[in-house]
Formats: sequence, C-alpha cells, structure tokens
Amino acid sequence: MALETDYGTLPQCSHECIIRALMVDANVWISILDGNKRVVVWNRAAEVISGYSAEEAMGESGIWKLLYPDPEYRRQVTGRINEVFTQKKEIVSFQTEITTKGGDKRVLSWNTRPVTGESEEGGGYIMVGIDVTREKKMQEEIYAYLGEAAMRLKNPVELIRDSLSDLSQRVATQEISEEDLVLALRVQQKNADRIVENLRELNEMVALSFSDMPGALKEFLRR
Amino acid sequence: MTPPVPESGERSLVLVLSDPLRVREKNIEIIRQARGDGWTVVVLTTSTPYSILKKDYEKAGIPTDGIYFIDTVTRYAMGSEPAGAANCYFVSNPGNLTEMGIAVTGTLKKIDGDQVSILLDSVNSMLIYISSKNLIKFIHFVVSKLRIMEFSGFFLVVEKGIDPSVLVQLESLVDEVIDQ
Repeated sequence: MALETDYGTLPQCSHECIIRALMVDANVWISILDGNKRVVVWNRAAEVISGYSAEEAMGESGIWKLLYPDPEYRRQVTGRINEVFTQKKEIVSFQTEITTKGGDKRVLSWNTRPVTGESEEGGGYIMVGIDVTREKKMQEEIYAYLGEAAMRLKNPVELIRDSLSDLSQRVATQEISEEDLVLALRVQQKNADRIVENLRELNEMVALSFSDMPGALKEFLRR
Repeated sequence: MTPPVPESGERSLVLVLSDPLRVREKNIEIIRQARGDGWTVVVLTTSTPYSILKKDYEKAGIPTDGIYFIDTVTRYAMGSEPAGAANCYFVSNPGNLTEMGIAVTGTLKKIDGDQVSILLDSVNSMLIYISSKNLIKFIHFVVSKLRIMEFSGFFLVVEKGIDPSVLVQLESLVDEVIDQ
C-alpha cells in the first residue's frame, strides 16, 4: 500500500481512498506490517516521529534495528510484539523507547492488533503509536518533585513538630535552661523559614517545567 | 538497641535508621558506647545545638572529653558563636557544605589516635537546607574521607522521612544498615 498525499478529490474517493487519507494525516504513528512482518504502511506521523521516511522503513524488517539499536532491548520489544502474531491478541498501551534517526529518544505508547488477511498466509498487524515522550518526562518530573517535596517539606515539618514536643517535655521537667530554650526555639524558627523557601523553590521548579502553565499561576508559585 | 559501634579494630560505616521520636536516645546510645570503648567521637550536628547535646551527654553520665563537635545550627540561629565552647567548631549555616567539609577535614586531622568515629545527626535535618542530590554528594565526601583515614562513621536517619530511592543511595555508601 503506497502513501497518498493528494486527496483533493476526496468527495469522489472510494472507501479505500478515504481510509488511506485518514491514515496519512492522522496525528498518531500508524504502521501496518504484513504477515512476514514487513512494513507496508508508514504514515506521515511515523516519519516525523522516527525521522525515517516511508521509503527507508518499508520492506524488510531492518527498521526495527534502527529504532531499537540495543539488541537486548530489541529482543524484549519484538518478543512482546510477536505475541500479537502467535497468540492473535491485541496489545494495548505498550510503551517502548525508540531511537530516532537524529539519535533522540522518544517514548511511544502502542496499541497493536492483528489484521486478518484474505488468505491463510495473509494478514499482519496494525500498530498505532502515540508519542508520550513529553507526558513521560512530566510524570518523571512530578515524581521527582513529590519525592523531594516530601523530604524537604513534609518531613522537616514533622521534625519541627517532634523537636517542639521534645522541648516542651524538657521545659516541663525543667531539663533545659532559658538560654538553651531560646537557642533551640530559634533553630526551629530558622528551620521553618527555610521550609518556606524550599516550597518557593520547588514551586518555581514546577512553574519552569510546565511552559504552558497559565502566567498568573506561574507568578503566584514564584512568590 | 544493639550497640552499633564495632569492636575495637573494626572500621565500619553505619547507617542507623531510627524512629523519629527516638533519635535523641539513639544519639546518646551511640556516643555512650563509643566513648565507653575508648573511641574519640566527632559529632556533626545539623539539628541540636552543641550546648544542649553536651548537657545531654553529661546528664547521661558520658564524659565529654574525647568528644568534638561540629555545630551547624547555633551560629545560624543566634548570629554569633557562644563564648567558652570547648572542642566545638561552629559552621555559619547548615547549608554551607563547603564549610562543613572543611570543618570535618580539619577536626579529623587534629585528633590524635586512630580510634575515631563521626556521628552525623541527622541526615533528615540536612535535607531542610540542601537538596537530596547535594546530600548524597556530601555523605559520599565524608564516607570517602573516613575510609581514607580508616575511621568509623554513623549516620542517623529517620527512615520514614527519606525517599526510598535516596535511601538506597545512602545504603550503597555504607558498610552496614542498622534498623531498630
């Protein structure tokens, strides 16, 4: 199946022509492999995301060595994909990391299902991939933020609480001089000041990570 | 608590995991045993001022000769060093890792004897002032220093306040983890 780019006569197009046009311009990666696992469809999104043209990708299965250069990782990925062939089942939201022609890494979330053919040897499978690289990065940044926030905000507040509880006990049992009490309280005050500063810094980090965050919210987080 | 201080002659770097309300108790226990076994101890405190710690040790019957202090909170809280503090180096603030590093190196160098141990109290309170990334770097620096000088070290951690991925990194730096 070749890729059509001219669908100016769409109203007169056949059903196949319409399907072809939709696949070409879909905003997601669409590849179709035949029963011998050769690429027969490689849409525009696949070209843009991978950096490999349809001409480079179509035909023999060498494209997978380019997209997954690490042999062990490639083995894992193709092993999972082979389940579609051998078990005739659908795979949903299977994430892989590809290496583009430019050497970048992109994370794709794949829905892959078998396509039945007219003959016993026919058929293949269709792969629909959504580029989730940005979402994955955001997720990792959120996890990092949450972990750091817990260590540098939540736990320090608990430390202050426990220290004040200890001080309260020392005062009750007259174990601490006034001078040391003042010192200890000032230490906790400094800790509290620092926690406020930590929150501001972490909020700034979040604001910087999300370029499309509303400006007013960004400004508020930075205060 | 099973005393974590190794037998004389053993040099060990230990992560001591503590319940938050027992940190002071564990600090005293480590110091008691270390001093009891004749070790010289350097207490790097990022939570409790030197003056309070010293009195805690004396109240617990632990002689404080043979204990050196690196206090990172008093000068920061009060704006100045107290007069008459013996065997104590006051760092300007708990986030100043450069000064803390110099204090650790300098204090370890000036101590006579080869049975020396550092106690850091605590890893969690350091995180108020520095990121987890810089914390790991600093602990790595201290551990490397101790290994070169063949000294021991104890790092007090309130386990539930540390991200598991950071805890794994800390555990990889030491010889032993004690969780009680």
